[in-house]
Amino acid sequence: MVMTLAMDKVLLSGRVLAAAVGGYALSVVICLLLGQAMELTDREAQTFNSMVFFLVYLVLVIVMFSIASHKKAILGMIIANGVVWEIWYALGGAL
Amino acid sequence: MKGGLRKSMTWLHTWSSLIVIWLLFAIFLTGTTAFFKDEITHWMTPEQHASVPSEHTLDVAVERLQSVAPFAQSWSINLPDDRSRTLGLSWLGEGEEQQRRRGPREELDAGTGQPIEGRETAGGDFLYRFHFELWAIPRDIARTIVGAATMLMFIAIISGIIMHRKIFADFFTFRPGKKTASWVDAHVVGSVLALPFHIMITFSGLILLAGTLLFWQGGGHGGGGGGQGGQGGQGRAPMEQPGGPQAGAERGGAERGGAERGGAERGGAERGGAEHGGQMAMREGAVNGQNPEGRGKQGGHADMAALNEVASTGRQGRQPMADGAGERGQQRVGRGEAAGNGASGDGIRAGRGARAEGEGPRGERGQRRQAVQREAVELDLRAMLAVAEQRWQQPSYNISISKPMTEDAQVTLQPAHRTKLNNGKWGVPSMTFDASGNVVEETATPEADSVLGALRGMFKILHEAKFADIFVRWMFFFSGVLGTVMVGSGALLWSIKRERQQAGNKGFELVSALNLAGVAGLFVALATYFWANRLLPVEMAERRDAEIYCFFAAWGLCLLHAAVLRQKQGWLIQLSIAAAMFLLLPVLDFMTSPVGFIGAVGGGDWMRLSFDLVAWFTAAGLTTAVLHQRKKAKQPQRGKRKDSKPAKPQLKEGQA
Repeated sequence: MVMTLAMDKVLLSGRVLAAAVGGYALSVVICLLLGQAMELTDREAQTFNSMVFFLVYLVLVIVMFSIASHKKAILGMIIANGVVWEIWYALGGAL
Repeated sequence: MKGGLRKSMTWLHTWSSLIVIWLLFAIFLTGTTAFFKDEITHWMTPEQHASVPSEHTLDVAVERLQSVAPFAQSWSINLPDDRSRTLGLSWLGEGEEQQRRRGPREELDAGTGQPIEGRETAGGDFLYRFHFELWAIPRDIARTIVGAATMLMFIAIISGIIMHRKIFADFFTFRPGKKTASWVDAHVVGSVLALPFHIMITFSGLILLAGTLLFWQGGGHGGGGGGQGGQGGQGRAPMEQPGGPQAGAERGGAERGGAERGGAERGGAERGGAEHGGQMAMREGAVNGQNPEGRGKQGGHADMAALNEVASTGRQGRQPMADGAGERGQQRVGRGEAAGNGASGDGIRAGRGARAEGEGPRGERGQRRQAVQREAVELDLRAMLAVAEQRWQQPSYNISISKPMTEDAQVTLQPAHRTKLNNGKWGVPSMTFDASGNVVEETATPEADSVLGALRGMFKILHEAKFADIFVRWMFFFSGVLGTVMVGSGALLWSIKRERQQAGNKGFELVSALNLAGVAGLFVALATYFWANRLLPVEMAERRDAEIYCFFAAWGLCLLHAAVLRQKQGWLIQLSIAAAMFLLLPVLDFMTSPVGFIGAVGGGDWMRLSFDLVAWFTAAGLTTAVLHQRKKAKQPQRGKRKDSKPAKPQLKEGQA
């Protein structure tokens, strides 16, 4: 029982961390990809990111907390980050 | 999944807001006051209270400039408007290089022309700056903290909407006297009534802080930061800002430190901030042939001929104003008319009365020659103002004159307010006249260079309420008050819900103490700040800082008090102190200002009277809370239920 509670707290902390840090990283790469897809100049991309980033981040955090399982949520965030960053680098992007 | 999403959103709503709720409360409260920061600064500078703008204020300005700077390269006049009651003057001396720092500047009594030696005060600027840069924390770190808190607020708002089963029905529900239910209803009403405002102000706040939050973009916070920094100076900025718009914007940030420390920057005013000034500098540069960019220039404006016709009509004494152009404009035109007809007393003649004792490195002979030359030049500023007002359908209070008192003089005017939300960064048009009153250049309202830029600019202008007239400003203020109620009631709701089960738990007691100091304590600190402004000696060194220290000392004492006595008596004591201080604030005002209540009403000083009225409304609200607490204190204390379990929302595996 104690172990389950402790595990639950660890997983909850992991979900919070994944939402905060993983969500931030995923929002960054989504903004970069959107900017590239829309063929924005650097200046336009900065303006675009300054608005869209927060909306993407918000949606990701809410999605993260709407998933039933902690493990699925954390794993989902890690995989999504891996895939989307891979796509970004495959397209020749760089930070 | 049945009910799971709502439950998980409740958890997210609770914890995303709770961890920063006291900071959010402070940001909301001080940010709400920032909508009236000029008015607060006016209240906190009683030396300004005697200044009553009149129809002769423009004459006063010109006479003063003729007297102190007859050979200046340029003059700048900031006339009193609906948010300032003093006259701001500045000038760039003959032969002086255009520098980053402003030239000499003065703040004058708009009625008498006497220089105002206002006390050193942090004014409304401290509260404004605190709401996004906190205090005594490195700027970038502070902005990052505030930005993170704002993001959490954004998450809390949206998750709060999702978690509501019937948000519309809840809005019309109020259950007084039901303890927890009453607080829930107050929280919902505060949230839903101004929900669009809360979303707008939070999202636009994030956009303004994007430079620090999106650090991976690198050096991106010049935009928002520069603009915000531009508002830092107290008072009004002179229109010319040497160095052009870039320097103006940079200076917005650079002068922030000066404005924070106060003293020397005081008279300076800042309707429109550095970007305003920067834009003006651009215009002046254009006039002087120094403008390398010429952004927004419309030298060959199609309507120029028509405008000149209007201007000349005004000078010839015909009525140039369109129907409904306003009484003020008509008065000005009327005076221009008189001047045009040779009634020498009425026209503003910037060339009149050049004085040989004026400053400048020239010898006496040279001065006399120049004075003779300058005596011949007259500028009919009122006619120009009337033309500009007709053009923009709003008055202009910013006048910049290059090469004053010479035949080459040029006068540049800008309107008082922005009229479009999609304006570019330098979002105010301008109009330049030659010495004869002909329009020689007109710059249109600069539009943003892209849809994205326009959108971003719109959010920025919305957040800062730069476009707002007095009615919209008050609407923003009341929405901000509702936001403050939303955050404050949310903080209390957390405690009240858990009081029976968790009283005595360390975490609960910590939150209770922080709630008390963060909500009631902040009101005590705010009232102390205003009291300190009037009670600290006027000549005190570092007076501005002393006011701020008083604010934090009071807040710190409240925190200590809350740590010791955080239950009902604690609320009763702190709320009572805050209520009494706000109640007596107008009394203190009329006792320590050179102008009493009758004088303020007679002089139409609504900037000051509104402050006093808001103080009384605040006192009324706090008194209601005190009475509520007294009623609660009379009820028997409920003990902690030993067998109770924590009632915090749980987010367990598989529950969402």
